[in-house]
Parts: sequence; C-alpha cells; structure tokens
Amino acid sequence: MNILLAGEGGQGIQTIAETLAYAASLSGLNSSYLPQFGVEQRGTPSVAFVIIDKKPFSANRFKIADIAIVLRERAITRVVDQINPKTTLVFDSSTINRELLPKNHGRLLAIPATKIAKENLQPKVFNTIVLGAICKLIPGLDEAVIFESLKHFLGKKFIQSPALAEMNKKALDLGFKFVFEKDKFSAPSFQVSSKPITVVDEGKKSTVYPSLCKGCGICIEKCPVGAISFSEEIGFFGNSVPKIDHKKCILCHNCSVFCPDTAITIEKKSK
Amino acid sequence: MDYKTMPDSYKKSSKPHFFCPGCGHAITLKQLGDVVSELGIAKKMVFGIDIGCSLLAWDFFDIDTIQAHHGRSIPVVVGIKKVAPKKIALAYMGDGGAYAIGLQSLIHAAYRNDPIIAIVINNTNYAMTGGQMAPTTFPGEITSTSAFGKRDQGFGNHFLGPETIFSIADKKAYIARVSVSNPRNIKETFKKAISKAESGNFAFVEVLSICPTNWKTNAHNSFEFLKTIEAKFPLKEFSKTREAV
Repeated sequence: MNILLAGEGGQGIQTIAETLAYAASLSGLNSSYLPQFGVEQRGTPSVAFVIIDKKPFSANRFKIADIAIVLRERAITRVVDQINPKTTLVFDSSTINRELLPKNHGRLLAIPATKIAKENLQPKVFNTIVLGAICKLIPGLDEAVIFESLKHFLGKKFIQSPALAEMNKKALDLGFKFVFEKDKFSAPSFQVSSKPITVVDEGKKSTVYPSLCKGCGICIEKCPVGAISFSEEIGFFGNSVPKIDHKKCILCHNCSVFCPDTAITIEKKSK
Repeated sequence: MDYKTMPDSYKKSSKPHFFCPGCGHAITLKQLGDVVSELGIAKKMVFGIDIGCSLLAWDFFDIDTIQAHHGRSIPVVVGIKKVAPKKIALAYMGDGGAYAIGLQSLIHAAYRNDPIIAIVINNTNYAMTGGQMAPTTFPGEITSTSAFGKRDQGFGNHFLGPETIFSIADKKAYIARVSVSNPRNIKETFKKAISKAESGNFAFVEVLSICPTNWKTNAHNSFEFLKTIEAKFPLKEFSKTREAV
C-alpha cells in the first residue's frame, strides 16, 4: 500500500509519516518512509512517501499512491501527478475547499481535522487526529500500536509533560472514532489568518502579522513584563501567533526589535 | 501587502523570508536593514552574500546583491569597490565561509585595509548542512558530528575570528564582536562600521548568533546557550583597545 502525505512544513507531516511506518513495522509488516522537503523548516510544501506491505519490496519511492492525504491548500500541486482514478484522496475539509482538489481521484474522504483540534483540544495536535483517522484505512494497524509508535518518537516530550501525552492520546482517539465525511463536507471555515491583527486598547495600538510569524517565541521570551503569549490564531506557517496584553505592556519595543520576521509591533496611539 | 514593521530597505515582495523560525540571521539583517534605511544608503550599497545560511539573504533587501563562494564574497565586493569607489561594499558571511573555508580572503582584505565592511555571523556550527562541527565550535560543545562534545585535542580550541584578524589588520581598521542578545548594540556597531568603511578603512564585525534548529533549543534555551557562547567569545570593540594590547 503506497501512502502519500502532503502538507506544509511545520504541520507535522514527517512526524506522522514516520510514526505510521514505525507502527507498521511494530505490527510485523514491511514498511518504509521517505521524506521530501526543502532547506527551510516551515512554509514550503512538505511531502512524505510511506510504503506498507505484507511482502518485501525494493524501492522506497512510488509513482502512484493508493492513499493520498492533503492537509494544506498549497500542497495540492504536489499530489496531482501522483494520483489516478483508483487513489483514495483524503483531505482536511476544514481548511481546503473541495473545488480546488484535482478531479482524477477515486474515493474522496474528508476529515475536518483543524476544526476538531481547535474545538476540542489545541490546534497543534491536529496531525495526531489525522494519524488516528488514516490508520483505519490501512489493514493491519490499530490505535494501540500507533500510540506505541508515537511514544517511540515523542517519548522524551511525553515524559517532560504528561499533559501532552494525554492530549495526544485523546487526539488519536478522536481521529480513530471519527467517521470520514463522504458526500457532505464541512465548510472550509478555518482558513489561515492572513490579514494583520490590529488591536487598539489602553491607548496603545498593536499589530501582529500572521502571514509573517513563524512562531519562534522570541517575543514571548524577550518581553520583560510577560505581556505576550500565544493566541488561538493560526498563522501562515501553521503555528500559533502571539498576542499582546495591552494592560501589562510598557512599550519597551523589545518584541519588535527582536522579532526576526518583523511580524509584531506595538506603539502609543496618537490621539 | 503593506508591512509597516519592515525597514524601507527590505524587499517586501520576497517576504516571508526563508530563514528558520527564530534565526539569528534574520535578527541581524533586520538591524542592518534599519541602519541602511536610516542612513539612506540603499542606492549606493552593494551587498555580497556567501555560501551557507547567509545565501538565504538573496532577494532579502531592495539592494544590489551579489553571491560568491565560501568567503569569496569579500574579494568580490573588494573588486566592486575598486571599480566603483563611491559604492559602499558589504560582505555578509557565516563563520564556516569566513573562518574555515575562505579565511584567506578575510585575512588579506584586513591586511590590505580594503575599505569594505565584513559581517560574520557566528553560530558555532555549519548550520545549513545540518549543524556539523566547525572551527568555532568550543571544546565540549555537542554538534551533529561531535555527539560526545568536541575534543580540543586534535580538533583545536574555538577559533576567535576578530582576535586573529586584529593581530594582522591595519591600525585604523575597525574590528568588533557583538551578539544578537543585544540588537540595539548591533545597530550602533553597524553604523560605526559603515562610517569607518566610508572613511577608507577595513571594518569587520562578528555577530554571535543563535541557531534554534541545529541547537535543538526553544526561544528560552537558545538565549541561555548564547550566554555560554558569550562567555567564551568576549564581546568588545577591538579598535579602542589597540594601544592596550
């Protein structure tokens, strides 16, 4: 079974692909995982080739996928050449408009993963939800072995924060129990924020550009009064973008001086 | 889109840029962009970039940009300066290009007192290829090719660039080491370096930088690790202390 995962760097595509391949090998199947991405960490399409088979195989790259998973609008171009009318196409219906998908696919399934993640848990575990959902499509895999595999890759982080382990387990469960949307799809209401977020409060005017922010967290680290924290808003690179607490802010401009991406600013509002 | 946060010298259509989240290059380049905008020298500036992460600064500014091989951005911009003496020539490199592979270019530019500005970003590893051990890696530092920490025996101590260049550079040259933990200081230092180059002398600034991707650190731990590096690479202006040494 050839599985193609396409999304955006930073979304966790490579993590779920590797987890899937490792889980398959744990359950006694032959598997391989081949990543494909650019030099940049985030913001460029990130593609992973996973092969899971009962028989041994020699090549770890394939031309046509049996299951293609698209998780971001910009990654659609990466799957167009690798699907045919037999391919099962899975997409994130809460961020991708169905009209934009290529037409030469077979079965069309959807999971509004971003919506589920944002409404039930945190936006960052959306990849685990997808992982839980797609393991149903692969014969020979179950939820327990996927979590075992996830523990193998994220074990250190799970030990540091048990809450994260709990959240991932819940996310996996949500994904596993979710019944794929087949005919009626959710509206793509969770588009990435691209417009600047401007807040005027307490005589100060702050602007955050989600289209530039890469979520490095330097503004949060460098704020001397702890006025900045991550918000619910998702930026262009699939990360949470910061927000400023205007009451606490002392207008030192450390955030705008340090920000490598020129994504944040706050100034006194002139009357 | 109209980004009010960006310096005027930025090429706005090429943003967001290609550097990793939390990259020290981008913090430094922003200070440089601010300085260029404040001094209004974008039109007469030539920006030379190198191999390594610094080449991601291609198309970064609305400034004439040229890219050369390891450390060779220095002789290339020196050549441009000789042909067009009114230009302000700036070479922007990483520590791999400037101190390891292309050190001879830097040494001879300092020796000849070429009126250019050389900026070197030092993050103590070869960042673009995956964080391998570099001459600037300090003994004990863990990188992808020194999993148990760099041994000083056989690999040497950490390479101190400004100190080395200082010993050979002309008396009038401006040499300084700054850190991204203080961007406001970077800006002042760049201003001094540009005025020094305009008066016909070699100006060299090393910027200690953070590399969250290869150090595998978050924002807090990046700056904590930068403090460790700052203890080993003293921050100072070398031109002032010339008489004392």
